Amino acid sequence: MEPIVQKPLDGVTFLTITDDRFTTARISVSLYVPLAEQTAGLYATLPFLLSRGCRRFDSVTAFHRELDRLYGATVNGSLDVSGETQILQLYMSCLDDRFALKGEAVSAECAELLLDVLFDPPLENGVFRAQDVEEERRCTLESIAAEINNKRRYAANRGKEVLCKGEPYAVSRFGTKERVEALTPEELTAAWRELLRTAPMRVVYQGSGDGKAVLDAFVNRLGERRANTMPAVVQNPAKAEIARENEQMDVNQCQLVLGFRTEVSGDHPLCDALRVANAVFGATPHSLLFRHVREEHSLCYYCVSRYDRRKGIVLVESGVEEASLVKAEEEILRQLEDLKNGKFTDEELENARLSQLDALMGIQDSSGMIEEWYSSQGPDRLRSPEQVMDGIRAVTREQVIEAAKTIAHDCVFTLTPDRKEETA
Amino acid sequence: MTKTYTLVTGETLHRIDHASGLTIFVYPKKGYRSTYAMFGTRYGSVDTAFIKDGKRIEVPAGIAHYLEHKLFENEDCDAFERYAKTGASANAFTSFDVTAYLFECSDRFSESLEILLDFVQKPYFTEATVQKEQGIIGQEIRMCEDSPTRRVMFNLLRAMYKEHPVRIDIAGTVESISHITPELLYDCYYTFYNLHNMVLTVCGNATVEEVLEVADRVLIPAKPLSLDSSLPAEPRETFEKEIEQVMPVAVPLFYIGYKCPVEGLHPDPKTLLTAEMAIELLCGHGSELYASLMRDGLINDSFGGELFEGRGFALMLIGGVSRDPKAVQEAVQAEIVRLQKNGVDETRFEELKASFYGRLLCRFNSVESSATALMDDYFHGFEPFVYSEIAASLEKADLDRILTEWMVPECSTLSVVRGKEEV
Repeated sequence: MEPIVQKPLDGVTFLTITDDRFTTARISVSLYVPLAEQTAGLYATLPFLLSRGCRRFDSVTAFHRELDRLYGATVNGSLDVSGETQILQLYMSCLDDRFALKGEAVSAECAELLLDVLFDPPLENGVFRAQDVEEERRCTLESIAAEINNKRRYAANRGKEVLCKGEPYAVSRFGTKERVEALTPEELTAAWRELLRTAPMRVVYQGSGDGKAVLDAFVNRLGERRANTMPAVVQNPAKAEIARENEQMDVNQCQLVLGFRTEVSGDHPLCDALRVANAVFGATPHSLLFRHVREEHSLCYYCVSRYDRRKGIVLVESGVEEASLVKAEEEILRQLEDLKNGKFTDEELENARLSQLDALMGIQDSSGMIEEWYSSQGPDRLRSPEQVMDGIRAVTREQVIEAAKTIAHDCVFTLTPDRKEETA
Repeated sequence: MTKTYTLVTGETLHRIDHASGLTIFVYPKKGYRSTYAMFGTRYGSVDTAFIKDGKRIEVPAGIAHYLEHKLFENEDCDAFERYAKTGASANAFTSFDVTAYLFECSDRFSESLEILLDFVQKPYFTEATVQKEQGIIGQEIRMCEDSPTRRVMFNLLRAMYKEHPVRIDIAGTVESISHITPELLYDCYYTFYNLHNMVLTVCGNATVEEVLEVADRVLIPAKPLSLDSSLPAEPRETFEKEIEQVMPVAVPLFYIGYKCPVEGLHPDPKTLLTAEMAIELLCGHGSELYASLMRDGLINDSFGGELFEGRGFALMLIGGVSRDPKAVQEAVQAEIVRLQKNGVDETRFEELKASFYGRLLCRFNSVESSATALMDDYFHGFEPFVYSEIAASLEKADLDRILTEWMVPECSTLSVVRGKEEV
């Protein structure tokens, strides 16, 4: 279903998707800022600080009791990174009015709560309350500390750092510990006010209504503004020599991450072809990596390739025994060579295309996925799943090979068991 | 035989008791393009033994999960290759008491359904194919060993239960899976993969006619089945009160578990839903406990609870990360005592009731949640979507009773995973 797109204010895109298939209504507000080391920690804390409540319900307890009363509605903050853009999001999901037991206007009340959270937080002397800031600063610090917990994700992030050293892409979405520790209520309040005036925004409304009341209220409260433009994504070719980094930790399984640069991003004509090429390579359980690295050689449980279209990089992740590290890397690179040399059947190509089309078609049956689809694209882009499907349908075998040939190996990151431990 | 239900959303659900012995649920969703199908058996890691020719045979830990992996491989080709031609996204999982095979698709549903029903009915195990899987599952086990979120949970179960096999890891160990043979896999398969012991749930863009057209053609009628699903007697108290493991984590992860009494295989649905409400009352974001622990710097927003329940076991889980898990445990226990003494506030109870009603209704949006709920309810012996039917009729007295009878210190355990430097 194509959304109705309106641009009511500078830098604001409002998407209306009227849909009565769901038992819920859903609204999200996304604010886009450039990902940068100096500001990442500051912005990362904001969505969570704001979603603690509002002036009307000024404690976490009061706010959540109100949400419980409103049939278990949710109003949450979230943080994401898309390419080199940090996305600060507030979203609301609630029961559609049709199902309210006493005929309450649940979605209007919840929309008002969401706007209150964004525009009318509980302040003290004009700034965020010290206790609120203290709690959220600690939560952000603990989120930074917890990045080590998921070894696969940790290794992938380290791989990205090696791949894009010195570029915004290498910055963690939560920023640095030092930066977060230094946050003050004054600084956070100033950042919040500034973002309302200048950050590009996207609102996605989904529900059985037309969203007009939400749009009007949103525009009213936002007022006059002048939005910043987002910087272009930094593009660099692969390093002349493969960079290798290793980290040791008390782990049982090694993490192997291979980083590749493609310089195919944004509106590059090969984007859709690279998406299909990546599916042939390692994005499905019938891909080259799955069939050969996992099934044929039994080297791993997972071996997956990801193409980040927003940055133009490919990352391969696998969990293997230390003794298999070299073999796994060789096998992954061998499969990539085969892909570049067109050593895949027409059937493999069609299967990869079909898996992409099927997944894209399924997006429209989930309001959460629809929301993510539109909010994660960044402020300057608006492609529907159908438009991407048309692009994927049109991709030829030659284009897939051409796209595959842009995948240039740049680096290897490995996380391996701690050797010092054993000799100690 | 077909039975229809009118759901709380106004939609229609169909139940078919198929001549083959399989029970089938079809839940068509108007306006949806995608369809989700699950084919599951009442067989999981807690099924550690079976009876063959009157003899009880103990099986290696992790065999149900191993069987799930191996079933994807038929004699002529593997199921993923077959699905590749339809575009469906396929997967499978093994839990403590269920193994399920599933796919989601937006096109060519009948073809994918045929693949699903066909490959699950055609086991093919040889020495070579069983051997080959050791490397793959070995790495899956290693991955789980390195996951602190998984360790803190499985350690908790091991400490809480003395006899019940929920204390054994679903995937087994690298050592235990080395004892798995084709013969054992066949024995387990023919014992538990009987259509009378299974269910098919379909939700989304599909009709009863489409499902039956495939089912009638592909399902092989099964012989009547009598399974010994008895489980060892489990004491009410927890086996150990504390368990700890050192792993590379910066802030300790913890779970507090309250072991619930289970008579028979499962408590009734009203009791289960009330238990979930008790957890939300105690430690949800709307609770005083959550606010005070946040204020004291003892938890972050990952703190929360859930009911964890399966065949013959049930526990209330409260967990998150904390620099001082012991202090959280003490605060949780103190709050339980306060709630037991004062009883549940009437207004708060009504808020929670509305919240549960709304959240349960939200589940109908997702084809995946719906198909999963239908399977769970069936394997529990409950009516389909029973929780959304009873949510509006929960009673405060039940909530007070659960708080008093289920949340007792002798029946609780604290599991912690902490980093080396803090020990």
